[in-house]
Amino acid sequence: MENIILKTENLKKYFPIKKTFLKRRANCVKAVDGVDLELKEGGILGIVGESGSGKTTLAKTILGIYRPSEGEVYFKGDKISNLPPNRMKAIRREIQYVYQNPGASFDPWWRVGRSLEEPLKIHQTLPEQGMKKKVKDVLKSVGLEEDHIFRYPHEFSGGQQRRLALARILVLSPSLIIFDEPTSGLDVSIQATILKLLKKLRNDFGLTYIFISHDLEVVRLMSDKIAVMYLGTIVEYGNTEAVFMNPKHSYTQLLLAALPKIKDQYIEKDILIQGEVPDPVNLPSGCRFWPRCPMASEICSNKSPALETIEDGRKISCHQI
Amino acid sequence: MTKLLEVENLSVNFDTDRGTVQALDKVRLTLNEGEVVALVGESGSGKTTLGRAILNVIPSPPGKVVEGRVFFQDRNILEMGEKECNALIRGKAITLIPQDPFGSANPLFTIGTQLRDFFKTSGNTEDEMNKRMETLLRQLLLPSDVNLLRKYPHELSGGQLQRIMIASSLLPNPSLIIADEPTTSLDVTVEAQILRLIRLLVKEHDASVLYITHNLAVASRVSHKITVMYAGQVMESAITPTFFANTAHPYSKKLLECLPNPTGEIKDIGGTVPNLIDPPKGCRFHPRCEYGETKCYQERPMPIEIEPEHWVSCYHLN
Amino acid sequence: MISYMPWVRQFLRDRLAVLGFFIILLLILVAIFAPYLAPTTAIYDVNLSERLQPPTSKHLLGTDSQGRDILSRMIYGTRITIIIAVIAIGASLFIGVPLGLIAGYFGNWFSEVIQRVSDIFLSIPQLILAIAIAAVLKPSITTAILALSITYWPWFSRLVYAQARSLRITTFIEATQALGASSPRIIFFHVLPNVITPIIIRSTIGMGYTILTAATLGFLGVGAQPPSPEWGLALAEAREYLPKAWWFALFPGLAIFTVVLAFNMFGDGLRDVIDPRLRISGK
Repeated sequence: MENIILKTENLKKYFPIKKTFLKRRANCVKAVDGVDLELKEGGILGIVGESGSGKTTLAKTILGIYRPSEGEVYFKGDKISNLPPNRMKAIRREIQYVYQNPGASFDPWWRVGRSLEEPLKIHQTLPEQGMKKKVKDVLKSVGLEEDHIFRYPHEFSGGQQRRLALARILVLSPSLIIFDEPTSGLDVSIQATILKLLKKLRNDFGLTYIFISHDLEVVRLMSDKIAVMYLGTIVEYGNTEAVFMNPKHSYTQLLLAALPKIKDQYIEKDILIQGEVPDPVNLPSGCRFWPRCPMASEICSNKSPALETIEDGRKISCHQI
Repeated sequence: MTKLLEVENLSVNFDTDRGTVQALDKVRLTLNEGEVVALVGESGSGKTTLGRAILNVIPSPPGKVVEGRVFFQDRNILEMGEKECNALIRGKAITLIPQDPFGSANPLFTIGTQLRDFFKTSGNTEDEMNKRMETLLRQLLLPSDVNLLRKYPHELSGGQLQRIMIASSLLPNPSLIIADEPTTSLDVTVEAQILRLIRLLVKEHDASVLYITHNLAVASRVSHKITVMYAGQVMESAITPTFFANTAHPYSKKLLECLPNPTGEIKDIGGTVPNLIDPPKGCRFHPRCEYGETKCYQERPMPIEIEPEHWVSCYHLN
Repeated sequence: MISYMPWVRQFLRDRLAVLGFFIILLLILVAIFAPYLAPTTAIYDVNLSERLQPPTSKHLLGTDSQGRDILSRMIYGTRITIIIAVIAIGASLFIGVPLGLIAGYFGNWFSEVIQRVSDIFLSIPQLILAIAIAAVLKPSITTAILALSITYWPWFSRLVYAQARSLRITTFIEATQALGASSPRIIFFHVLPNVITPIIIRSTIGMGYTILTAATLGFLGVGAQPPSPEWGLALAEAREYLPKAWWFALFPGLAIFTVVLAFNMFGDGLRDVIDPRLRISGK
């Protein structure tokens, strides 16, 4: 029986922009604007989007680093959005977040071993001896050495820093891990190594992942379900292979077309890639994608489409389909 | 094909606290007029150092050119003095598109001012300036109205600013443009646009490009020739279609395998990138190579031309 | 922590800083061993028959207007100097650092209040403020210490505030919060260690400044009171006997000058070693 480990309902996060002098609430950045998600235990959900899509804000709102402007987040059936800090602390053990820049998530003045023990000290789940042993075990499972605990974060390479960040999270034995751009900036060979490791850890420890990336290829490899985000909303959702083989939403098609692939050397794409992601403060009316969409019609600029199921497991947010 | 750039046996070291980093080891590279050559390598491969060497901007302590020459239009750049380099080469005959546009543009001046500064040093009239700028901005699909020129770097998106950087690299009518991972920090759709632009502009302006990247797929989209580097050595170089059709060097093959493929199986290269303070002898890839044997580290394999314009440095060629 | 050897080596290259260090060391040693170093311990005994004697073998630095041996008084004066400096800086730290940490880390209405208050203190010239406070209360060494602490704490709080504020938005602080760490824990274990180095530098320079101001207060009569051997007070007493009894004013003045200079040189040296490193290694 597959449990739903995470669910979000109409999740929104707006950031007000203060105007100078008069401090009028002139505008908001609607970073996340109505996101519904459901994640089954043991699954890997990939969230794909470019800059401004709101994927990192979504992750941080789920995690509680940001408070939702609207909407709810449910973890293992319990509501976790807007929890008071003391109750949130217990949740923080179960849902973890791996930063885009893993080295930056470590205090540069602390030895790595101390940083790895810190989560255990915060949550007091193990006795002192147990903590040291747990750190050693976790280091081994991410492929690092025991004596690495004496070094400083900047002494490690990018790939190793990622492993360290993973290790620090694993000491708490979480159930759900959110990865934010886990492979960006990594060389292809190291990327492959890290991805292999992540799959192994998922199998060994029975983890559930949310994989945020702008790299579609990586997401395709790792996740079983994929959600494509554009300017704060999900435009397409479904089984990963199905979406890749048969993308329905114009934006998904655009993303796939833009991918540099070795096979299409010198072949000019049919889809002319126009425009750029607009400023999140001045969003287009109606469907956010309509200015760049080849299928747009009048209704698209007037009304925002909702995310609807169109066929088995596939959801689209579009008027034209 | 006229040769524009020829790097001959270039070796560069850097003296650091921990020892001497042997960043480049007898690197050879040829670039002809009108070509886009992709310099592909992972981190530590030396591709950025090579780019800097061509501009002769390797800081002289701690860097040192141990041997080799960089021939550009029949002159050895490494032998030219600072003044000459500034007058003729840097920002003139050879320009640079940097990796991080926000780190390179001066945040205190508007775009227009910074672009015009390029012209001041080239000695053009006001009218010529404005016309050229307009043309370039249009070609780069940027709105050529006054507004854009009045903006400050941080007011633009990454894609827009990078396009301005490309414009600024074209302004002096260079013969060679060195593009240092120009699309790494950009979104995929923006990257696709810019790659397309670079291909078009290269044709129109008759410039040659040395395109530095770690992404083979990007290299395939933009280059005529590919040169693969690993740990400071050149492993393979070929015309792009040939490179993918007939990949010869074990490292290149492994690199291709690492790219995500739809079968779902993730392949990586065992081992780690070597420490360049004490690099492996001979071929620096040998410790991680499945074909590695004694002669690989006894003597470094010289490049062999296995087919026209396809050079490989390896003893194991089927 | 990180190996300090390269830092020490760089510091040793700065000769002025090393000189400053030794002078400070000398100051501390003299203060500790005063009774053994001073020719006489009878620094308060008035001996009018020996007043205003120029430097001789009996009184190496001469005698003052009350016939007391200047050398001995100066040596005991080091104790007062150090006590004032240490307590004043200590108190400033005690007030300023926590306030700065809280204001910087939380960034709420409380920080605004602290900022405004410290702005007020900073806008008044320190010396005048110190004099005013010292003049209102009964003049004494304690008063001087109090006045100095009250006027110096904003320098620390401002320094700490800036650091705490910039750290608050760093990724690793956010990551630690995401792990469930409480604010006190973060402030104490993560923010404070990052703040210590600028504090140390500022304290050293602050010591020099404090000593100078304390001497000024003594000179003006609102700090140390007779018969204390405090250097500033000695200068005040010596003033009317210039230029004939030059030794009376010269040596206390020289002492103040040397010590303040030493702290400044040392602090500068420290800063040169630590600051650039902070930028490089704290990546």
